[in-house]
Amino acid sequence: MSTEDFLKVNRERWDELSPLHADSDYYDVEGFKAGGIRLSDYEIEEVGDVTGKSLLHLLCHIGTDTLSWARLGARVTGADFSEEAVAVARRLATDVGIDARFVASDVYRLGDVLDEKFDIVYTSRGVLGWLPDLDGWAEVVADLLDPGGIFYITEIHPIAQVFDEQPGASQLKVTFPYFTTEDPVPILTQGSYAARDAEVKNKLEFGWPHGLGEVATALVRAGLRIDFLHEFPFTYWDKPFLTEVGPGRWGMPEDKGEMPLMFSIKATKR
Amino acid sequence: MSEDQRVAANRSLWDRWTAAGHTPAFAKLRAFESGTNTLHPVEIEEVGDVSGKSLLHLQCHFGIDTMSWARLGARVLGLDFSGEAIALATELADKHGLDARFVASDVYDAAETTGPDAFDIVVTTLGVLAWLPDLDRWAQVVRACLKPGGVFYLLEYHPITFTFDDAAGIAEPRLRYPYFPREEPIVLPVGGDKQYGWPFSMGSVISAIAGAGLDIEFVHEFPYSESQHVPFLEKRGERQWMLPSDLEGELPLMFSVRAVNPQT
Repeated sequence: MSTEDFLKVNRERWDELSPLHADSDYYDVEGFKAGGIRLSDYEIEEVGDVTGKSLLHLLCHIGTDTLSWARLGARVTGADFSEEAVAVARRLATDVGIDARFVASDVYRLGDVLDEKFDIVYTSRGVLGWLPDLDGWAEVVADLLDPGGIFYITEIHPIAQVFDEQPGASQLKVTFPYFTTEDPVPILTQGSYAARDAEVKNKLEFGWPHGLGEVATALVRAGLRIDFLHEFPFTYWDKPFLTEVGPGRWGMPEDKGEMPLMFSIKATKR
Repeated sequence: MSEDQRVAANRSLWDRWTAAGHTPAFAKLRAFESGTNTLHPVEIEEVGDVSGKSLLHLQCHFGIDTMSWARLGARVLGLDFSGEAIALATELADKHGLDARFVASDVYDAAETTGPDAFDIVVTTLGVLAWLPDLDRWAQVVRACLKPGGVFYLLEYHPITFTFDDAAGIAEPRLRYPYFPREEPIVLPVGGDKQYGWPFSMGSVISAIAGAGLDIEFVHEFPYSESQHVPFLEKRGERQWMLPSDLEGELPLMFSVRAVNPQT
């Protein structure tokens, strides 16, 4: 299979998941419509004041996070490769009366689709695994930023992704690759992380692992300056070896040791 | 116990280990004395050409890596907090007629000891960060030692490897020690004494370097370590140790960072 074939399989799955996620408790669209902000306190603090700034959200899915940035004062554009996700996002923007732009495009072709540069490029939670090529992605980020503009990512930590996820695995077992692989890892999933019991036709997805060093180095190579790298002891997805440590947050059980489960990077375009 | 007292306790351990010949570096001493370059190939490649450049090696122990940089043409200064280690390093440099200087100093005093903006290159490697109670201050010292345009290079065991149980007989990675930095060090019994170690994370190291104003050029992670620095690693090649082969997955076992002191 070619990279295009892998991406097509993923896109068809996301097209099917998007309307399901719009109705899921996980995305809590009703709560969002009632005025909620779907962002974490730490990322709001780390990105800083967005008032009046242009913000591009890469891999924005159904746009709840994108529109949350708009509620905090940013002029937002969301981009996602799934037409269905973008359709949900546009409806949501209309429903809540937020002036936002959503574009359906492969991230690697965004430079051709968007004719503006942004103050902030943002991407978060479950994005890197869908990218076959980090260097190409970082170049798109750099290309779409104004000089002095900032890039911010918060994502599940790649170390948290290497351990066996079979339910009942009592001991952590190093099972999955950490470093970027040529071919992606195939994953068969019942439902999805946000709609576990849903009958989903497209069960197969392909994910590319990427090490933390590879992510940071790709950004530097594209012309960004790393401002910080932060790591966090919690994540937003349940895993068999984690326990719920707060609303929608999972971490290592007490006395079972520590590992980094989320990370964030802020970088500035030179 | 104050931070100074803990550092002093660690220093006295290193003095005694050095006097007794009880550190991993002693295993390489004979090779060094017969002319072998003790640097790992990855650091030679990633630091690049050092000929004619001034190089400061922080936490240099008794200096065989420092002197290996000298053999590659650098004008070197090695710095370590252990007086015993520096005495041995100086003796070795004399014995082999190598143009290398050594100074005993706490790493936090390096810029005062060496004079500011002095070096083209600052290097520190393999088993250094856990001895440092304050990474932000350390990174500021590194920058203060560099000329504008100078290069900082760090090669270190990956912090995730220090979270695993290091008891003998443990055959695979099993979480035991903290990952995230904390004020209170980890206290490990060593003979009748105590060793104090400060956990460091990737985030704390990278953010300290960037926060000090250095421009990061790359962060590399490696699926191997240069030694069996945790007991469950298996030898796969010359200075190449990896996870047990029955594990399908990967973990980063070493990492490196190269950063530049900006010109202005």
